[in-house]
Amino acid sequence: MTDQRVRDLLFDTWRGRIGLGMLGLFVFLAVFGSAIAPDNPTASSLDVLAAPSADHWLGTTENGEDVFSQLLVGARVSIVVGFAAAAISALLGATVGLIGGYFGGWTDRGLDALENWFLVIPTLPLMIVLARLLEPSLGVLIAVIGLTSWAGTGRIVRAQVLTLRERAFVERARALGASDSYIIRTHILPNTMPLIFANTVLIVAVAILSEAALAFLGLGDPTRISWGTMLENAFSSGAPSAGAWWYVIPPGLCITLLVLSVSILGYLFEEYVNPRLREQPA
Amino acid sequence: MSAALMEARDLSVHFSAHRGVARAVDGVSLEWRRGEILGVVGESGCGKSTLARALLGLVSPTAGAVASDGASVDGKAALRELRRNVQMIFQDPYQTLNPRQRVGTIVAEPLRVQGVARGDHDARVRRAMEDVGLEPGRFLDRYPHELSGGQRQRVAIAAALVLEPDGLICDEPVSMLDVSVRAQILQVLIELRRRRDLALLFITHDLSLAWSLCDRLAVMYLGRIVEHGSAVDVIERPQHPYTQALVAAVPVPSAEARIREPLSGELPDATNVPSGCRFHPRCPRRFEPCDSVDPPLLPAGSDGQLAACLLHDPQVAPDAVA
Amino acid sequence: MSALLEIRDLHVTHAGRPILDGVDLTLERGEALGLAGESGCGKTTTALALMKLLPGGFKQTGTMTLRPPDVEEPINVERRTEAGMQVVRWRHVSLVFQGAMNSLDPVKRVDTQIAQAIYLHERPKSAKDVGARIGELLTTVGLTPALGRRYAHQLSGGQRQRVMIALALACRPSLVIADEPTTALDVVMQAQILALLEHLREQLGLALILISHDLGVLSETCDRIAVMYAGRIVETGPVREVFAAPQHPYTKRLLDSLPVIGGSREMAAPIPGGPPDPGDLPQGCRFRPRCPYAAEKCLEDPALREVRPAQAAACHFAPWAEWPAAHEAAVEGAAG
Repeated sequence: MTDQRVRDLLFDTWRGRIGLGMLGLFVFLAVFGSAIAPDNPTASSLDVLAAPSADHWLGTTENGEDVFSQLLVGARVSIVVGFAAAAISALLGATVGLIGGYFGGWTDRGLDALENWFLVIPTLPLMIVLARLLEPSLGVLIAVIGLTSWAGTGRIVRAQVLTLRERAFVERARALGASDSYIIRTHILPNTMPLIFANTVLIVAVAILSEAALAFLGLGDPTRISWGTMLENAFSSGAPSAGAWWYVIPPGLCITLLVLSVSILGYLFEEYVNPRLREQPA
Repeated sequence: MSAALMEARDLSVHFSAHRGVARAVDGVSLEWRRGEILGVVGESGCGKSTLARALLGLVSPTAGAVASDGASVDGKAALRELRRNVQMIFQDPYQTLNPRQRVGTIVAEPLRVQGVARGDHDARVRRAMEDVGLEPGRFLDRYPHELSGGQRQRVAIAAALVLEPDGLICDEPVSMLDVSVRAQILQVLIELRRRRDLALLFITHDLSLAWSLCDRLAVMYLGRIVEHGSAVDVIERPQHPYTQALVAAVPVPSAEARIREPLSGELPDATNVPSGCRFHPRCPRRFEPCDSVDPPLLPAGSDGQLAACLLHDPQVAPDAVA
Repeated sequence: MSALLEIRDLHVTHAGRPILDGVDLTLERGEALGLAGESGCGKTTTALALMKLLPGGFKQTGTMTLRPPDVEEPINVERRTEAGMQVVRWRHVSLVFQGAMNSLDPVKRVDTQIAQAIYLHERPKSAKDVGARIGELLTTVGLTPALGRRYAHQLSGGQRQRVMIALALACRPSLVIADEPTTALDVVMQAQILALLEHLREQLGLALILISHDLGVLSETCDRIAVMYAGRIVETGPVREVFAAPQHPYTKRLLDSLPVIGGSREMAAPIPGGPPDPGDLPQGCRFRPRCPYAAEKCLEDPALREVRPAQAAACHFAPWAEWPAAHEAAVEGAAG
């Protein structure tokens, strides 16, 4: 039944369809982008900063590379970073929230202090510092974004676990002699999943933007093609003042649309989660 | 075999709260016999729910012991055995079932946790559901939110029955249900008692219900049992001033108007237990020694009836008419 | 003397489904009326409809006329706009909500909240006046005025319920509606609150509508009682009369299912099934599917009519002189 309601929200509302549709498109690009790109995105030519034409649908970069191809290939980085970082964040946040919330006592206080520390640190500066100190590989980028965004999820999960812990069905399980791990697995986690999910989807949006921001600040791997690096290259080569809108607008637009689609879905899930939490009779 | 199904032996459960020590259960000795319906009544905060939880090991006693079939429940093995024999059902039908599990899974849970062979599960679940009046074909695959309050409580009872326990602790099982649904659930419990010789420990604040349902009754006040005896004796001929006040406070849909002077004040906080007899500050019949002497349960009224009141102590109040 | 409150033909629907179906109620000044019934029967909806507090999505029709003693012109509630209702609510009719003891604002002191109520509905002369009134209110409900300086979490359940009653009295209404005021309380506190309500009635000449599923509670405090089932009133009458000689099978069954200390300990057979879903109402009498005395005639809607002096019931076979076991005998015996 839970699936039914989710399916209704996803497929029967305009928001669901648009969000799912856009996201689906971008995921498709992430997987097949390089296969369907018309040109090799790193193939330079003498056609520098050329306007869109039949040969190059979105014109060329300052090195004569095809913008359209770069756009298609760049989707992969954004999606991968977005989802991977969000997954790390969710995993960390959920684990900390579950353990702290369920066991309470000093464990909780310690984990809570850790959480507070991570919440308080300004994320972008931290990301910049870490990115400078460490090798700017994709893996590091994902780890950095994941590490700086888990605390929010942790907080939310902990609050939910605290409530769940006191519910009668958990007490019943304890009265049967169920072990802590059984209770967490069977009762606490499934009832927290929707919340974790809703929260994580929004973190995907944050992760994508963070990657773009770091790339834009020149902290990404310069040989990697992503929408962020495209923007960085565009700006540093003076594309805006040269009027090369085909270079500047598409990556920015793509970032926006991807984040938008993820956000729409995130809010959709929140909507699904909330009324379920309020299970009161008429 | 006269050993009681369960016994509380001078049981105490104290919690430390920032205001002090909350003496939720304070020296309770109680016997719950096989096949009997034992009621525990009292105001909210008197410790009856904590007592129930202590019996099942959900909260550790600070002092005293819990016994089952004459033997003290010590250690994991004994506790596990106890939990197979005694189950519990809770007050709020809307919180008692995991909203993400189907009815079939919920009812089978005790079998999983206690390690009963997989092959047996289906048959036992079906039998338990039939026993509570829920047709397995219709209900096994439903989710809790598709069920009414009464149906949810039936599912909880079915889950409690599936291990074929000897006793069921019921913590206010019907107080959140509508009047007509209440009667249905009570009938299920009574039938179960009859057919399976199930013992019930029935916790409630509804005295009329306790009177009509229970064989024996214990009245709790601030962590202590203040009166004990057969349900009919305790409620129709109460011997402790607190019980008397409780009974007097029950509204009765009778044809004659009643003028009542309700008991004043409120149950004190469990961190602030009065000296001597803990009821004395609110007692309309208190006299000299009541603020310094803590009375034990003394014989009062009918055979087998006990009340913790100095009025029944012939040495202290030789000519007091209780 | 004209009645304090007259509700005529109140209908409430929600998403096309009938929630209240033609409710008529009359209340005299200083009278206490009990509204009895199980969840879903519409008793809370009636109270909210009277105060025009039903959420959007609910449509209500019917007339509701208030004639408070200190007002010249009768107030036609159904015609009032939201702005107009601000003057009616709390000033003439107030409501103690179900589960009210948990709805005090946790971050404000008690006296601040009472003051808020006063300022919202009146234009008091000075802050000192308001302060004095608050002290008076708290004393009236049996609390010491000093408790006004406390926060909700510093008060016990019984004290919070008294505060809610004080809040309801803040603007000196002539009618107070109390929705399940004692449901979450244990027997002793319940008796105290009911005694308080009785005392307030005497002292302030207050009219009371007491909503409860607990017939015992209603019998102690009310003069008259109206029993509701599936959005309709099925029986009304003076409390003693209705309890001594109920005229509707539902009332009879409800009374039967209450154990009375000192009487028979045998549990009456429970009423099978549950109340009907508003989207799927039975034809004719709504209680018919669960009624042990149902007959052919019951497929026709029974009107609420007077069957004994001052007692009305919505049953074709009322008045019931006695309650036979078998339904054929019932139908025969009552046909006269």
